[in-house]
Amino acid sequence: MPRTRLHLIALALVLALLSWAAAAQALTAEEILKKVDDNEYLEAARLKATLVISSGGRDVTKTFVALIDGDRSFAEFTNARDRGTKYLKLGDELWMFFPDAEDVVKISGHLLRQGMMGSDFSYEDALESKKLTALYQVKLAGEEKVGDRECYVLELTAKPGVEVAYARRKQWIAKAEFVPVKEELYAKSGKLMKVATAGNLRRVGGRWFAMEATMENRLKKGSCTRMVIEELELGVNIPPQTFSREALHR
Amino acid sequence: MLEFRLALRNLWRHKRRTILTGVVVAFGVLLFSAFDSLLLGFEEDSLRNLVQYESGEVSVHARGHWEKREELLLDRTIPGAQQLAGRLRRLEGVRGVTPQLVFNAAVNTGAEESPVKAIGTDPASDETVLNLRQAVKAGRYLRAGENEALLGRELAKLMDLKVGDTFTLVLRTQRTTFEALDLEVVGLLGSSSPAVNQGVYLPLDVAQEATGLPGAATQVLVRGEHGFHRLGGLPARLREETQHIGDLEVKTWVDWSGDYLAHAQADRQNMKVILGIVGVIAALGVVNSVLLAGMERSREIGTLKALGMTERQITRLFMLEGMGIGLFGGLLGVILSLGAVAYLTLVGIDYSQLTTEYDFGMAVEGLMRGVWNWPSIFGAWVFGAAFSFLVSYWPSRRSARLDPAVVLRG
Repeated sequence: MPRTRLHLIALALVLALLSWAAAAQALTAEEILKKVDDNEYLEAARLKATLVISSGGRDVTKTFVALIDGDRSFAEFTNARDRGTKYLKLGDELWMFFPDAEDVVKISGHLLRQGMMGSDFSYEDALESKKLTALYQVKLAGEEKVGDRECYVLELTAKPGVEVAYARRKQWIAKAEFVPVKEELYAKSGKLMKVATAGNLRRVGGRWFAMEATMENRLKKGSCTRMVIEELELGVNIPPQTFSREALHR
Repeated sequence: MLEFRLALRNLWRHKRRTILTGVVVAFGVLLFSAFDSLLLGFEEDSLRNLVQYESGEVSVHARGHWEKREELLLDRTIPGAQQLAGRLRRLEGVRGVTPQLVFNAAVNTGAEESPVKAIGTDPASDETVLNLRQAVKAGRYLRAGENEALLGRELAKLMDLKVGDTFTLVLRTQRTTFEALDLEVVGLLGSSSPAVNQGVYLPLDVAQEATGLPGAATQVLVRGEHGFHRLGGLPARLREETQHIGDLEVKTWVDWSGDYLAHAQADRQNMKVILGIVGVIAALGVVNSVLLAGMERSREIGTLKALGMTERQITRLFMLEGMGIGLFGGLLGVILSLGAVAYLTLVGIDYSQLTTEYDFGMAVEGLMRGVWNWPSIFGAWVFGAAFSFLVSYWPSRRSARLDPAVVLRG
């Protein structure tokens, strides 16, 4: 084969690769975040998960089952110690049912900042169900590898006048799955408060999900919580009365 | 007069009985006076602490904030609080004005985190209204613009923090965004107010910046010129002044003290129950004493009746003896009360060990002091004597009805 032809094929291949890369690069930060939002926003989902809370050298394990439909969710703890403890989230409001006292308490004010069931996920974190594109201005800060995954690095800054828990967030989005595999959460002053990492990405119902997530509280030494999703079903049929305060007493 | 002389002589003749019964009455008067002194002292301390460390004498709030002030939310604040403070300072009868920004936060040491009430206070003006500066037990007072804090001693102990240490104050801005502020502990506060001992104080401007509320305050506290018991027309003047400024409302320390006053009222009810029990014990003592006297002296009663004394006179004689016991016991009680109340007012009762675990829901801590309440002490004496006189009626009447022929025959 003449050498020139070989060169031409090689050149064409390089150009094709470059154009594919350029096409991938052409995704804007907003488009990436929108893909993440679309991927993460759950409608009619049921999940079963385990929380492993590590603090002060001790591990505590809790299990729960949750039903999620957009910004509504219902969770019931199933481990022996917390059996019957239930949470109901309707939009921006959260209620908790204590089985021992048979009482429903609305979680509001400073309680929202507390760790949910003693974990490093605050009630505030649990309440955040709005799409990030509605809350944050986003900037593509570059690309980095997290483990062996190629990631987009996004910097999110709260939109003016919008109520958010974290003024700034930095996310590492897996390029292939559009799932955040790492996230840093910052206070208004710029102090790093929490670091979340995600792993074990699985495809469920045509979408990618991180089946494991770890939240590390950077303000509290040695405090982190690992959540493992054991079962995840999408498109399940949830009776509408599930998301009601009456359901907490059942 | 005859009954008086006879009653006195009889009391003297039966010294032991008179003294023993009198001691019961004295104990009642002492208990009442001491309790009354402590309760009044407690109430006064409680209110003084509230005014000097928390409420000021009068306070100004954005409308709607007052009802929900316990929630420490930042949704209703006074913008331009320093300007408002400056305007109020010029009013007649105003001695001092200071703005404060009070909000929910958490003290985080890296190892522990505890929810707290955080107070942004203005170092330039707060001493004109509050006594915070005098409560600094270690270190120094706050400086405006510096990332520093004063911690109440109980909170510092709980979080194992001391002067020179740094901690993170975690809070939420008005827009509910997390803020984490690194602050140096520059001083520790210790006072007789649990609210101070468990709080975090930081410079107002630092608090305003952190919460995203520059220039704002949740309350503007005012101190009048004549003390908190004599506010006079000050609240009205403040209401008149603020009605043109914005949607503000004016509250006095009496509004703030609703809970304390409810506690005090409950305590006074308890006091009545105690007094009732003590009264019954004393009454039984007096009745018993008069009854025994009647039984022992039946021959004497017979003689008196044979000599022409009427039943009414004999009844009066024994009732006067009862009152004599009351007067003597009451006097003894007053003397003992003077010593006890003097001790309570000068030395007091130290219960600081108890208050690390319980705060009784009141704004006092550490030392409980009594106050002098003369009408109460002497009132107890008069009441004791009158009560003894009245409860002696039944046993006296019983003795007076004895038949002289029967008792003299033996």
